[in-house]
Amino acid sequence: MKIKFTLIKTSVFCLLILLGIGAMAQSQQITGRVVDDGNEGLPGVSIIIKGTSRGTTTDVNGNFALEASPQDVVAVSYVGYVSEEITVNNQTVFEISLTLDITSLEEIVVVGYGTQKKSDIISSVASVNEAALLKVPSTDIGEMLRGKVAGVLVTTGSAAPGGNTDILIRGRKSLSGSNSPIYIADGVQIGGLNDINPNDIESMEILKDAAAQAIYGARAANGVILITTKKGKAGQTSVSYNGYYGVQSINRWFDIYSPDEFAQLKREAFRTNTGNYLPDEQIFTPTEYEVLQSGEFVDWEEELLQTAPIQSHNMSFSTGTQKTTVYAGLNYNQQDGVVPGTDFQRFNIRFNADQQINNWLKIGLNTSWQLSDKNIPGTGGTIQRSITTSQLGKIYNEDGSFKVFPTDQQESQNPLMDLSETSNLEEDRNDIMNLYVDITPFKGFKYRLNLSRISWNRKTQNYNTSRSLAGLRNNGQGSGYLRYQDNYEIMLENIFTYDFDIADSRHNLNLTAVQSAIESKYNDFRNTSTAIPNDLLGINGLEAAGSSLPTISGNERQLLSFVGRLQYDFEGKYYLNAAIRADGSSVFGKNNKWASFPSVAVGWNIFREDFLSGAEFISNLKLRASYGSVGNQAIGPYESQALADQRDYLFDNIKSVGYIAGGDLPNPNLKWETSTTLNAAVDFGFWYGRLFGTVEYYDTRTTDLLVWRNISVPGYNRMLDNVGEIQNEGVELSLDAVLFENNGLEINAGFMVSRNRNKIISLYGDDADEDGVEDDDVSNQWFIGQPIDVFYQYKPVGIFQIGEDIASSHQPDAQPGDVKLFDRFPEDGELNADDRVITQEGPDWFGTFNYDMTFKGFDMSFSIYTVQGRIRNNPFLYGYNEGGSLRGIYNGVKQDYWLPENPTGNWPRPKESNDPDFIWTMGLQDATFVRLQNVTLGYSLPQAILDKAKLSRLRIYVTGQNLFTITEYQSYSPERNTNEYPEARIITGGLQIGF
Amino acid sequence: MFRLNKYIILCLTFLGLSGCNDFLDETPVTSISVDYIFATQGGLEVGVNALYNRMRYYNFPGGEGGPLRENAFFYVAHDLGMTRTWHKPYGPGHTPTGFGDFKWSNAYQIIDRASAIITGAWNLEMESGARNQILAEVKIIRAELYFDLLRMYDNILLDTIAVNPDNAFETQEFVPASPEAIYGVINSDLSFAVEHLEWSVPYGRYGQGVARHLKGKVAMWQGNWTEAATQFDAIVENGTHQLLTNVSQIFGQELNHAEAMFVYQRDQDLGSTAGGTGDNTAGGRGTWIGSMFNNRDYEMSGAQIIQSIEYGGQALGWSYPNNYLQSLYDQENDLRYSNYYYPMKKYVNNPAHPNFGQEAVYDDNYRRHHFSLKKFHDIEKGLLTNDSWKDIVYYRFAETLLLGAEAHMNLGGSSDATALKYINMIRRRAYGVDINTPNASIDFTTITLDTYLEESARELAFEKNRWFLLKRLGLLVERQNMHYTFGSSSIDEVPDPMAPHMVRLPIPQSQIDLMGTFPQNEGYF
Repeated sequence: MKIKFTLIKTSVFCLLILLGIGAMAQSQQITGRVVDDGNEGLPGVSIIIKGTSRGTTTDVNGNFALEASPQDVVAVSYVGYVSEEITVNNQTVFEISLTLDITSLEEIVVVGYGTQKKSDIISSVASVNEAALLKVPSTDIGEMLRGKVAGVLVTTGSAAPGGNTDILIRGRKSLSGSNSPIYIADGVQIGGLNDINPNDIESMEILKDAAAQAIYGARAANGVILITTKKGKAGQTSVSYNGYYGVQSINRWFDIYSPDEFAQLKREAFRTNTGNYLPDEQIFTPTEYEVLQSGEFVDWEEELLQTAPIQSHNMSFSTGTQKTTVYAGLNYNQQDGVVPGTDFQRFNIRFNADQQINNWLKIGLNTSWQLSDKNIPGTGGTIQRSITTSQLGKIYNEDGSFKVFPTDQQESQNPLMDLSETSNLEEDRNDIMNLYVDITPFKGFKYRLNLSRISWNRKTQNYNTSRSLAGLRNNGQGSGYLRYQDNYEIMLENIFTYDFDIADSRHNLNLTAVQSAIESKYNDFRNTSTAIPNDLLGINGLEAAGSSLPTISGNERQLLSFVGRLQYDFEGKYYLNAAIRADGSSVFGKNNKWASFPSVAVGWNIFREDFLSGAEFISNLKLRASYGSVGNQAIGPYESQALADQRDYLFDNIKSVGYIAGGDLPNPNLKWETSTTLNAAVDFGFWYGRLFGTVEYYDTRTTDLLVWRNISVPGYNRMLDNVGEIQNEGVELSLDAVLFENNGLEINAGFMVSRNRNKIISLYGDDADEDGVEDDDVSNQWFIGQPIDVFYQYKPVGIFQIGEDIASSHQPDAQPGDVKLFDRFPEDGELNADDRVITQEGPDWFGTFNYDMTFKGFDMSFSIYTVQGRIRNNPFLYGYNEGGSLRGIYNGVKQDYWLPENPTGNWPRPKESNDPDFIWTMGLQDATFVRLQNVTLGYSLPQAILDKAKLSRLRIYVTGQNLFTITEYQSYSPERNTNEYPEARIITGGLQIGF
Repeated sequence: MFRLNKYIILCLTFLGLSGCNDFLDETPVTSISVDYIFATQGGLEVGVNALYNRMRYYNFPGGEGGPLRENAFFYVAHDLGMTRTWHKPYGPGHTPTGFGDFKWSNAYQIIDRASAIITGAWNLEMESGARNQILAEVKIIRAELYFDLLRMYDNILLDTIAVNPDNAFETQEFVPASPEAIYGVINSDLSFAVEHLEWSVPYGRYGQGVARHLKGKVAMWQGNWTEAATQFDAIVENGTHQLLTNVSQIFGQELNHAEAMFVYQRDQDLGSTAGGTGDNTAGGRGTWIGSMFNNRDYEMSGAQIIQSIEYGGQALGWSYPNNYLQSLYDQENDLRYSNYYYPMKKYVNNPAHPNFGQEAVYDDNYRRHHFSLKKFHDIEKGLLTNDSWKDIVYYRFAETLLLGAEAHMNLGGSSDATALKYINMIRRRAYGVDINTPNASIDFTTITLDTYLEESARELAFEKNRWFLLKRLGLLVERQNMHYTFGSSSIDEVPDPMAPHMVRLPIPQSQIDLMGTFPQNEGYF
């Protein structure tokens, strides 16, 4: 509608000009001013007399002067605005109003070292907008990204307060190195996604194929996430507030033994050893026995877990004139954990500014200051212990102090004690400073000097009081450590871009050249103190410590790079891009520091072809393909060098320093991992954009994998080496549709599905058994033709029964009630390593379904997220510490265990003295899940009321996050181990106000 | 415009100055290069110190897990031991994959570093006394490890050339070395050590006593009784090492005494409980070896007993000395019974219990009550932890005497005077009488293999030599089958016989996989 209006306005304007045409044909001085919609003068607008090379540009105020004849046609053009053509006639003074080119502006996509119109993109770049991210109430941007982009698998890393997620783009490519993407905010590589306030994000782009990534060369193999922060806009001043407050809770989706069931389990465990039921007094510890009699069981979940608040408040301010734009954002996040005593808060300020100095010089600044405090004591296992600590216990001694061993068993310590007696406070400072200078000396050419410094400091104060478990073990003395870590990275980049001005305007050609240097330094100092005589000062009392052990480490790394890129298209139909980046990294061996990463991409906008001009239902149809390679540094500094390990010793009770080579053989020939990707895709849109989507296929081959290979060199265990090849092949599909759009009701729905197949194609190239097939690396569980992540272990097939001929089975020593294992080679008559089987970890595919609806002021949306076909090893099912091994010491997940009276039991018979043989094979469990990820309900006040209140926006909303998960996996989270913080269910209420 | 170009050039020049190559050179900030070790005498000495650290890790790793289990095996898996729970020797885990490669891998790692230091010491200009001291200490370590490997696995690799990135992947055929070749290296290294080490050395270092003790032990394995007797006699004659008269001091808190020939050092203040790195520190990581062989009396039903120093504090009770060993003692008069083991009779020490001070009522549950080893008893150990930082005696003079007795018995028969003299010194000391005064009621008048093995059991049980002694005598399987048991109470305690092929350990599967051509020991798959 806006487009239409603009068209009318322009037409009227042109008509007026035409009406003023005189008959004069004399060359004359014409003057004028070019303005934008807000009547502000536009500087640097190109004014050219068509068919000539004569022309000028507007000055800072938008004014221009030019010689022209009445019959001349003046072409007025400016990036981002709709160009105008005006015949001079007899008019001498012009007031030209340019309209924003909405189509181009709205579909601008940020790519490495530049931006492109969406229709010009021929590599795999996915965009996520701010609104989609901010729907998710989280302190973690990764969590906000979950399910938003095809091919991007987001998995909970730690859901503790201030936690983070693991982001995997198109599968694992590195065996030993990092598989995390790099994050570039406004052209500067940052340490992590959460260095940025999500409210400051204008857009986020995920570069998925080599053609898009290649410009980041050696760091890009795991993908690149580009973040663009907000800028002020000329002529617009706005202030907005966005905040929410909510509660988090965790939900148990599985059963544990009730106190009586647990008591019975313990009786059975003793019975297995002694052959008959013992009297309870002999089975149970005094406390267990007493509690069993009294029935005063402890509900540890009640004691240990809480409903915890989470809140976020954000203020932003933005303003601008033609010459100056400013954006400022202020954010405060606070989160308590569901485990008491864990909390996180973060404060973030951003200030972005741009200043046009004159018509060829502009200076800009992006800065962010972030402070955060995180208190996560060494209580990672608390959630697990809320399950495993037996209910047959007591929390307190009679004097009110904590009972160290609630059930009188030394294995099971009081989880409440460390919650209150240990602390671990991390104070972080995280700054980003980025200064750039843009110089545009002549048309089409731009030079940018980009300078940045990011820095990160962390101070950790860890303390266990004299009353903590560590304190009690250490004769009632405190202990802990003080740790200082800091890291900074400076970057200097020279970026040149040139848009060729080709006479035949159907050709568009653009060149980019970059030269970049990055240096980073890291320091880590830690002083561990024990035997601190009292708790008065906590860890700050370390000067009084009986013993202090300092450790120090640090490193430096450098990266030097040269980049070139060419972007060409013909009539917006046929595209060709090519890029190359050469990187030199300090971490590699002397002879292999440099590598170069080329890429090429082609694209065809079929819908712009004449032969489709009649097919109006096709609003977009593009074929694109790319091929190229990117690298992964995959190792840390000094890993190619032979460093000595410090191994000290005592003689006559006096410390003597020792150094010796460690177990890793140095390799001076280390080089980059290289990932080469073939990507092919179709983008389509039908019925005026009511149905649109993308189908994408990729095949990535990663070679020269940096791997710690076990080596057959006596005296050394392993060596970092470049070996083998990994394939990641996948398909991504995303489809969105406008289902209904009428009478103020709009319904949109969409889904995306991603499937990645990971395969080891080659490892070391050995074939020792000469069977013609390359050998597997069994010790690392890497198998040719299998994915990187597999389990290789015995497979349980049932429970041995009474009367079964066990003696002649392959497990002749087994007893009825023991785990029966799959016998892969019955001929050999025994259980051996060959009987192990491979199980792929998966997942097969993952996907999201999104639905949103707006009606008048109301909005509603929900998203369903699923990960299918993933197998995880669940220690709750077998682990001793996780209560899985049926010893009657730890409580655990309820199982139907075998007894002589219960021959259909599918879990082994409990045993007091030892874990049932091979119970550890029982852990593989389907971790497939379907989750109602997010439901949001909102209401925005109508414009009429807003106008009265002098507001531009007011929306209230409620959000439910992780409301419901359907899974067979018996843990708090299908993505987390039992001793790790699971993602919480979060329900929040929020408010958005704009002035 | 011109000015502009100037800026661009300036920026590029700035980068040019830093220079591509210099910019990418890396120099470690907080670590030193391996080359330093071989560059100076000080570097070599620092390397030797590190080898002591690695040897402590090899023999007494801190904490629990595979390393502890692989070491504990040799303490318990013979005729004097029994096991209650998870780390069950000779069980389903006694396989090439299950047993682990801690001993194999670490032994070869230390051997390689030792060889590197030996080569380095010869290549460096230095004073010969200092060089010989370095070489002697390193060679004794190398010999000790080859001896250990040979006795554990029988079939092992022999390689005395240190590995570096240049020679690492030279073609090497992995085949078992002949015992003669291995003994050749061991004896040559030990002879050097005997020649160059002093008798009296700082506490914690190898001295001539250990060198001769080891040389004698090696000779016993080669059946060279004369050489063995020569070495053992030399130690006795020298007098640096002597039996302590007070049995309670042998494994007391202060181990810097005449009977201890070699003691592994540990110190909590200079150590760390951290898994992974604690063992790297001078003080080391707390060891669980003592807790492993002690019961948890404080878990006894009725809350009769609380953790106390007297009974060893927190414990694990995974393996124990067995009933057969207990039966060998004159429990009334043999002081070793009351000093090497915790008392079987325990008294209610919980002040809140009505029977306070009276004898406890015992459960038939070996975790809570069993004959338990006190040789690692540490009065400074925390009550609520298994970690102990007490030093540990590894070689002691009592073994020299007993091996000497065996050597002389083989040379002179069952009434050999020296054999009887040596074994009777041990016996008299155990009964608290003068070591050098004959005592008819205590002394042996003849020595046979059976009486020798019994006396050796009484004196040296759970000091990591029984398994090897029986193996050398070819009696391991027979005697293990007679006495070794598995069980958690008197009801389910059963003999747990080893198979004959288990007299040698399985070569770790990971090493078999890597070496390709190296054969697995017979009987293992």
